[in-house]
Amino acid sequence: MEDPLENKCPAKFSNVDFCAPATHDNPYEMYDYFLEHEPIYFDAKNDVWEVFRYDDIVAIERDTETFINSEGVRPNIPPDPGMIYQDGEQHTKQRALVASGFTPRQMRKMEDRAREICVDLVDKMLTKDEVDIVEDLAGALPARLIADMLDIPEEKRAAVMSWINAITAGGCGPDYVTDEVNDAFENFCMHHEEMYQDRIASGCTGADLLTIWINAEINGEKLDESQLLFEHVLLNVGGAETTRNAIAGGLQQLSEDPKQYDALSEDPSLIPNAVEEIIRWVCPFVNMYRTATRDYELHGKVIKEGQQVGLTYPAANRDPRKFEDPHRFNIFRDFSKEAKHLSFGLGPHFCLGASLARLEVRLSLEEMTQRVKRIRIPEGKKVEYVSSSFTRGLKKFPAVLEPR
Amino acid sequence: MKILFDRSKCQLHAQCRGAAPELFSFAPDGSLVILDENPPEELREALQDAVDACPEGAIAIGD
Repeated sequence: MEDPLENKCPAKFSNVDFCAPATHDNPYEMYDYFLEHEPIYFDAKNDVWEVFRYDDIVAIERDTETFINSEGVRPNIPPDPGMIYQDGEQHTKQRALVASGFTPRQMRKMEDRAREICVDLVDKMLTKDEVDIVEDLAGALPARLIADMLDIPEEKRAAVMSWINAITAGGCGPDYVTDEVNDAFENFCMHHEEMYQDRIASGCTGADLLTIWINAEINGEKLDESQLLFEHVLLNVGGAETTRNAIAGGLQQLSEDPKQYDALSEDPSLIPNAVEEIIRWVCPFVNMYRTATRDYELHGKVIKEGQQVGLTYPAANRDPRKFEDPHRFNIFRDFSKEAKHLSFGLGPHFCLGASLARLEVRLSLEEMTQRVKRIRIPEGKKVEYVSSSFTRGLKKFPAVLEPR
Repeated sequence: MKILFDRSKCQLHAQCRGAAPELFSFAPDGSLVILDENPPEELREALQDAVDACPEGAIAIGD
């Protein structure tokens, strides 16, 4: 980590540009300031509000009459036909169709395949003198699992991941939708069209997720072609980017804290709670935005009808009103006494992939703690972070693994 | 097995529908519909998933 005093935001935290990726590099001193002194802040540069406190985010997520998704969930970026941009009945219908490929039972059926991948990745890492935990495990597991679920041809998988990385970077705001982002999106569209036509030509008989979505029908309603495309994008962004950051960030915390790491290898029944703490602590999504349908007063300020408000989830996950010693990474944290973290959001848009994400983080911890005695960062090397105002995490995690 | 559903708590998050599409659906007016109030034993796992998924704690299993 960088020195916390070297925070890139101004000392008094005024004129903060919340869309600028660097604003969220090592952001917790800034979040603490806003949690305590300015729980609602107007970012004049981007013309959006930001909120931080746990209870405020919960109130906004629950008030779906006042705060809607259909005007966009990224700052100043217009909506697309995907389910995340729908409200009310249309959202319920569309999400039900998408969810037909995502029930907890289907996710449990994935466990054997996910473990197989995890074992293989750890096997390979243990043959190397030095690994990059991001590339060799944290990124590879979700990417392979999703590619398997979608049945993406082996030779296209690396390209798809690179497009998704670029597309995700565009979520920071309109200034960050570069030519590279647009090219990546165009490439992904062609890739989607190819996969779609391939399935139509073969009569939609496969068991892959895209086929399940093409075939899904509830009360005569089906997903149309543009919806299919954007659910496909969303699945990749939501499934690969975020889980990678959770696994890598969690293992980084544990590598720095051998006592907690050893506790997990001695008693694997602690792992599910550790998974929740990792997801609270890392909180891969920086925020999602909602649009007010009426004037809404909060802490003496007014979010005007039509204005956007950003829900800063990682700040809420460190809100001292809810979490004891919130900046401490503690796998023994009692979430039933404190609060559930908000990393998956809340309410009708609660992360559809939550059970899949939990499964992948759990399997990574199980394999690593059982087979690796110690994770050490090699002399002279350090972890590198991705700068982003949308999804934060590690870019590189060089490590030497000491086998058991 | 019986589905115990507290309609006053339901906020239409639709998580139950995602967890157990065999048991929960929506009426054209958007309200939640329970497809089978006394589901067969083989759907216990599905129902338990729906109970776990509901953010409002509006669903329970009555034996």
